[in-house]
Amino acid sequence: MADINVNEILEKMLNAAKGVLQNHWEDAKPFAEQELKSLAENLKLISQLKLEGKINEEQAKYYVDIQKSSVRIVLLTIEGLGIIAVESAINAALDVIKTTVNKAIGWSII
Amino acid sequence: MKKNQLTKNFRFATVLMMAMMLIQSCTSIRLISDYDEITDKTVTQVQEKVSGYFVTLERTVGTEEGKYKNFIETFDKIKVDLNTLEVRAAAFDKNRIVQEQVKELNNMITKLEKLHTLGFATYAQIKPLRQPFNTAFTAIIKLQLALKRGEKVKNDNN
Repeated sequence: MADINVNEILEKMLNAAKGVLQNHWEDAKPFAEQELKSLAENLKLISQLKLEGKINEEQAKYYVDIQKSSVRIVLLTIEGLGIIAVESAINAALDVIKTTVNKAIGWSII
Repeated sequence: MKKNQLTKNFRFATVLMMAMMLIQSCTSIRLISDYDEITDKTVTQVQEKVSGYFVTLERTVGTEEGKYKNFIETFDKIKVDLNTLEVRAAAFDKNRIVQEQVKELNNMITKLEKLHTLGFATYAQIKPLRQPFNTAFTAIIKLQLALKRGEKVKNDNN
């Protein structure tokens, strides 16, 4: 069985994530890089456990499932932070025109 | 003629009301659920229990004390907290992200328990597990803190 090269799989994962995140990549980069690096390192540890005969296939799948769920949670946070940023931007924009619009219309509608 | 005028007026009033409702509904846009203190505290409770689990397991791995039967109560307590989180997350509008995070966390605990029932013999088997849990909790808490800040901004504006 071939050994896992952490740098090689990390680069592949980063390129894939960058392609999907596109415009959000710069915001997500520090968080994503750190977490994907940990994922790559842990995948190597799991492969070592297999090589040393310390885990079977069933156990390996549970280990990988835990890693995958952890990454999903991180990606969900990145998505949530993006939504909060958009929400704040819209509300800030409305707040800026609040006085002008309310005064012009004569009602306090914003 | 009079009927036409009335219809026109009615249409105008309807459009005006709809426009006002639209504008009013936009006064404070909400795209994601508000901060929930109980969710935040319960996530921290689960994190503390999982952290305690790993500390004990790392100390006792490979011994009688480190066997699954001695951790059943800990898993039960974690599951109770997760159920609270699940119910809580489902009760709020626009809370898909937190709901999915809780679902993934639940999956992590289920798989951890399965691994423990199969047995841990050495520290090397635990090493790849602690970090993903720390990462998951950090990410969930990070989102909760961001929601909290959003809540503060909303309150400041009101």
